[in-house]
Amino acid sequence: MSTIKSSDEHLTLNADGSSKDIKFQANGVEKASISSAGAFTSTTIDATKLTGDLPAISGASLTGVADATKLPLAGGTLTGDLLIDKSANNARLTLGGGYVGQIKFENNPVVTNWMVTSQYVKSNAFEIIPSTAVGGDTFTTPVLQITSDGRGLSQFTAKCWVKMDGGGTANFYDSHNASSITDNGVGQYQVNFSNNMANDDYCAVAHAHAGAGTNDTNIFEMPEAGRATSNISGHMMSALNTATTFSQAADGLVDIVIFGD
Amino acid sequence: MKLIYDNSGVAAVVVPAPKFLAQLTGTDEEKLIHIANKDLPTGTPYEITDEDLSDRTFRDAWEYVAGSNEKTSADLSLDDQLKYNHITQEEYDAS
Repeated sequence: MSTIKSSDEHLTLNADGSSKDIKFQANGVEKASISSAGAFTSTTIDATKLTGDLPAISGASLTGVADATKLPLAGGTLTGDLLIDKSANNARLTLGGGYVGQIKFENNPVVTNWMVTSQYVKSNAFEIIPSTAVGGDTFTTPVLQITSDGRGLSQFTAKCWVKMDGGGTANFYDSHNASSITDNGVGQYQVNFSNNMANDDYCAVAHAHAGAGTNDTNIFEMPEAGRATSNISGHMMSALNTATTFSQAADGLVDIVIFGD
Repeated sequence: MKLIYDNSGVAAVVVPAPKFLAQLTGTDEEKLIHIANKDLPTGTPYEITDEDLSDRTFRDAWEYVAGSNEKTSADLSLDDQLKYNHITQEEYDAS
């Protein structure tokens, strides 16, 4: 064995000349070097011999350092429950800083998937959408939209309801998606919708009440066809005191409920 | 306050829904003008009134007579037309 050593003093290896490196070889093959700029290069470093803290270096190129206990920022799969500490009053799950937030429920492939989302089809609505195909990932038509102004849009939610009094100055007891009543004369009212219906094939159901007795019959007659999408109009007709014929009534209470597109 | 206008020879009275009024901003008159623009056919002469019209005697004989404060209903803005479903998103985008 050969040894290069000093005796109680510095040992200097000097590669003389510009840009000359100090090289270390084993069996004629270079294994490490120190460049003229001071950079140490080695074919391998035995990490088991390293101790102490790493300096503030970039780890962008590091590989094989994944932590199986932590999800990556993208692409990971959470296999257990997601628990949010509800002991804090402000515990919440916030989705997205963009304009659409989505939660997808991907079920067994033989059933429909679901998406709960905001502003996906309608710009101001919270929406529930089934996949277009069983197990699919395409979502186009919501079955329920809840708009920011408080309307529920679906085939099973009332698009408009009104309880109004046509007597005196016509007025609302209460209403939903109605902007005004037009009083067109005795027993003739038009309820103007806040937001138009999508078409005129909506279902409108009404109840009318006039007269103080228990032997009065009242109806609120609405057009069979040619309805407007912006309003529903009708006539209040009454047969009072067991009368057998209806006449355009004195003014009274009208309830209207409308379902449709 | 209410709107009154001529509807085929009979005075029509438009009474706003309180919930809808509450969604609007501006003065009471501005809110009524907005409702007129929304619920009356464009170009309809009308007046805003706070008169007591609760006595419905001869209601079908009431006639609208233009006063000094008569206004005319106008088109809603495109944004409002979209908001109230008067036009579709496609029509809005094409405008």
